[in-house]
Amino acid sequence: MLTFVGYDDTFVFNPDNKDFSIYDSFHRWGEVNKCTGDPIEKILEGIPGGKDDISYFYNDCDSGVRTGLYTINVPHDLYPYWGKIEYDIAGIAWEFLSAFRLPK
Amino acid sequence: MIIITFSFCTCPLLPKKNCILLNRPWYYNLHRPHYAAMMESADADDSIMGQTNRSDRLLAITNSFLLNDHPVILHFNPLEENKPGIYIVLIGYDESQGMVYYADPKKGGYIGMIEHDRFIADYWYTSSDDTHYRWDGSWLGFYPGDGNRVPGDFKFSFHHDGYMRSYIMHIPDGIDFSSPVPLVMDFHGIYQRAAGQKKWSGFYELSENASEKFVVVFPEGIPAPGFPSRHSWNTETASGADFGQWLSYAWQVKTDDVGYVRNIIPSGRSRC
Repeated sequence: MLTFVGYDDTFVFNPDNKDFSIYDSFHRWGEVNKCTGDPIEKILEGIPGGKDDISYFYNDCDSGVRTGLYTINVPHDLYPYWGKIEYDIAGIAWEFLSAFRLPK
Repeated sequence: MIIITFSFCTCPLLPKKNCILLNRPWYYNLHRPHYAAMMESADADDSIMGQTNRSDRLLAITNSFLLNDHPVILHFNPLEENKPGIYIVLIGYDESQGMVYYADPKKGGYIGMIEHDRFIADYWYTSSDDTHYRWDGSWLGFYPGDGNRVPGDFKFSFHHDGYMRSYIMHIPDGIDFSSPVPLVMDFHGIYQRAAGQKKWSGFYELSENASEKFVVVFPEGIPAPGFPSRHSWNTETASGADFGQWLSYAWQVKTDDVGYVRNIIPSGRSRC
């Protein structure tokens, strides 16, 4: 389970929304996936003068599952096509997803 | 926000040339009307070719593709009683016996078989112009020759839970179907559509360029009545009961999106 969210997302549960936080959602997914320990936090390169882009990962979950969250200093839309984001979201997601295989 | 799901497409291609493989969307719906339209490029037109938005019928579909390197056009009017048309859907081809398997939606999914040459003569039309389209027919279970799927973009639609649902499937160049390949389901956001997601998300390009190639499906929600561009999924928007401008019509009418997606994902069932 991997989620990307922009800090300035006014439509969905952005990280600054105390009442409906993306962190709550992330931790809930951690519970669903029976993750243990604290999530590993990694600060990424953010936009100068803006908030840090941060990734969080529960890497120790049931059945080899990983649960991740990227909080990025952009608005709602994370499409690279729109030129608002420097990250290759699809590439990051694919690197995450392609590490898994369904049971045969 | 982007949440990405994926599964693996367990669609082994024909290990033996005399195998007939039926994919789930059709196979699963043999006794329910399930029609498909496909286009060479979904970018060319964001609507479904020749099809109305009415959920109760298809007026017409015209398909063009290569069959054994032979350009053909299918004229297909499945539900128009008073218009001439061909009421069958190709679902399989047994190369070793030269037999084509077909289904007649008007007869509840009746399956028949006919000699390939007669099928061509009776039901298919050679393109009279230089436009050569390709159709791999995979989602209808048709595999010409060695069963290699043809790369390209294909738009499909089918009837599900009272709505005409559609999706775009992208098969990258050079993908090897001799073993199961990954399938990424790339969902658009509210008031967006499959064609836009294909253009914006980056998965279309990535599927072509990744070291491990994969098939991408871009599903599409349903539009709100009177607002053909306001597509949505059956999920409550974050603003709760007061949707404001981000009204999710699919959530209001509780569309069966899970069932829709399950109909998209192929099962790889085979008669081999």
